[in-house]
Amino acid sequence: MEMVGSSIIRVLSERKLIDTSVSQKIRKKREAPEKANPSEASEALTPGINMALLLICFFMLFVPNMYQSNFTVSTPALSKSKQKQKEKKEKTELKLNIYMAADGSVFINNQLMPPDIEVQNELMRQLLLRSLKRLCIISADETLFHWQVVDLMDRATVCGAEKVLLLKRRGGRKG
Amino acid sequence: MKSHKATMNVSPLCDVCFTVLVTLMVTVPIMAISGKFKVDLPAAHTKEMRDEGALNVSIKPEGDSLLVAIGDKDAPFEEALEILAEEIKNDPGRMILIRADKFILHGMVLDLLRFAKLKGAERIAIATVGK
Repeated sequence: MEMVGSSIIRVLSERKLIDTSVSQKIRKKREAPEKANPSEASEALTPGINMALLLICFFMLFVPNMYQSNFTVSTPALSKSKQKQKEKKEKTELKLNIYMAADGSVFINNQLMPPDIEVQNELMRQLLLRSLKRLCIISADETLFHWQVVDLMDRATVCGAEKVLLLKRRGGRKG
Repeated sequence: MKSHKATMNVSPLCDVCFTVLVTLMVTVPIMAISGKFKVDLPAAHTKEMRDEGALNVSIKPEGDSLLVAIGDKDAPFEEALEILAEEIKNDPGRMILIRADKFILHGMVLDLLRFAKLKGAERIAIATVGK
């Protein structure tokens, strides 16, 4: 059909019965949709859109937790009577007791630890493995920076502590 | 005869998706700072599930004084403690999230913890950022 049409146009233009520019325009008009086929371009974009939507979904779900986390800490109950406190103390398993002095030195169960963090972590890990409640009691000098204590809490949690108890000690290290 | 399929132009949709993505990437970190001011939190490996309904207690040093904010309300230290006591009284079960600057003294954080506990707070947490 197309071939018949184009041959008619060619014959007519050769005999100068129609203007050739008109025939060229007609030809261009026919060829134009083939050159710019929108369906091909849109097919290539679909995976891109899928990826973009997926990224948006992941971002919306996970970003709020990426920027801030927290440690849940416990402090000793203050309103309990001395007797109740004594009873609780007897029941509480004191397996891992960490104290950080003002100079940054660490005491685990009242024993001065070498400054090597790996050695300290290994001991913490072993003590927590033996512990049933996996309770870690942390006390630190009040002149230390907050990040130093948080780092210690973090190390204890990474080593297996399930519950971290922050204790305020008056008058420095005991024992 | 050649047939031309009618297709939807998806380029604007794609543009909108990418724009939304970029907007989210830019704005979410700003939105994540839930306190009144930006606090340089200490870093930690441990991650716990965030409690969306937690009451943020932000504290950071500003020269010789302290900047304290309870939720969106900032106030001098003593006034902030009063606000905190009031908030705890209203809802003791609400998580108290202490967002203390990493260069705050540990003693100050302990005092805050002790105060919150004394006023009846049942759940207290210390905010950190991922390492």
